[in-house]
Amino acid sequence: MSHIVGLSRAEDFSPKLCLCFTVAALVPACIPASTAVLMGAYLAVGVLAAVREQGISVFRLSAVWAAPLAIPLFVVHGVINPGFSTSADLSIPIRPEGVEFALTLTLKLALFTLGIAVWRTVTRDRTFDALISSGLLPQPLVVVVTQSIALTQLLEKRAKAILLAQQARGIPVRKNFARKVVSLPALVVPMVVHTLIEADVRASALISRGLGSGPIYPTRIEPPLPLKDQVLVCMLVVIDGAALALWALG
Amino acid sequence: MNTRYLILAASLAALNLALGKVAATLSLPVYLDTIGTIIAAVMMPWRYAVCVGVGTSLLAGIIINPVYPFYAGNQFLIATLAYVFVRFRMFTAWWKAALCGACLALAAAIAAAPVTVLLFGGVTLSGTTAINAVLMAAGNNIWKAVLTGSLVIESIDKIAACLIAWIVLDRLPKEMLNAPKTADDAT
Repeated sequence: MSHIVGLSRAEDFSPKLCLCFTVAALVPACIPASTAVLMGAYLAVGVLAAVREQGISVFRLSAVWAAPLAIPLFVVHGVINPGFSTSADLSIPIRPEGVEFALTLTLKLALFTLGIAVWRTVTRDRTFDALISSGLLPQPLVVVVTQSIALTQLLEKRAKAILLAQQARGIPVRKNFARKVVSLPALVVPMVVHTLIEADVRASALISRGLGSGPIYPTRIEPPLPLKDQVLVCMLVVIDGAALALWALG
Repeated sequence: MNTRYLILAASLAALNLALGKVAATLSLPVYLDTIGTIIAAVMMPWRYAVCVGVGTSLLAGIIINPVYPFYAGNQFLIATLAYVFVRFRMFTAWWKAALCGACLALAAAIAAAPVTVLLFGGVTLSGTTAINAVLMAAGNNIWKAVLTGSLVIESIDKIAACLIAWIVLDRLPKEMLNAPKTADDAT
């Protein structure tokens, strides 16, 4: 699981606290709030996560996820989209309404990514294990998720190996577009065959270990949140309440 | 619970994710993240094919970027349509597979456009945004631009995916296409 966790030095967030942060970030993103409210909610939830985490990994990952969408949004709507009128005062064709629209959408996306980034940055193997072994998730779902994540890493390595092997054989997998498309089967077909063989081997191994004949892991009960986290949850509720109140008041 | 189907579904979801990343690494203007879903539709019952498609979107949301789960409906549609095409024996010749790809492309473009326009303002993570921007600059409204841009990219992607799926399935031993069937599958 190392590739989906572990940017933070802080102690684990419990899954319940992560869920509270996610809800707190998603509520303002889902209402038609003003940019000021969205900005305030983003900063408030982000700062609380940073304080609890004792780092800025959540902010950083949120920015990494939102930026590839935010930059094109400003270019497309702030300059290109003819649906918004241009400003007569400026020599360059900036569309103020488009910029406002892009800013609102960017803040909503930033809030959304912030809510998800909490799960990626401040949960560690132990939290993920706790979620799996809590018995809250059905066993087939756990099997599919864990096997998929494990196999994705394996297949990526396999793809790189196949790519290098095909290049060594003279197949132009990195040349121009047409050659790339023509050489795709040389990469994809061995990967699919490898995937099917790997699935067969894993299924046999897991069946022989008892999977499919009942639960194979012990369940455990999550302890209640500590006092400091309960205070944090109250603050997150206040942030969402304020965002909803400001929206309701217009 | 059919363990063999479950592991195969997990493996094909992982294949979708890995191929998606390879396509990005090679800078291909295609996604390649539906090949596993199409193969699942050929090899497994409908619910497992849907599990592969939707699972791919959800896992990509954890591993790559949280925007992917919004396109889970797209994967659901592709899995369902691919399953229907398989039942009509549409993966028995290359030209039939290409035809399936064209149909899937049309359906995927129509299903993805509302998500792209309403949630992301016409912007996506792939190179489709550049095509959309050019079409908007030419005076098209956002809906027309996104639909046209998606149709161009999806046509290349889905036809390529179906042809690759056909090549793979053509080379697989016939018994392997129904291999995971066990007693509990009948229940």
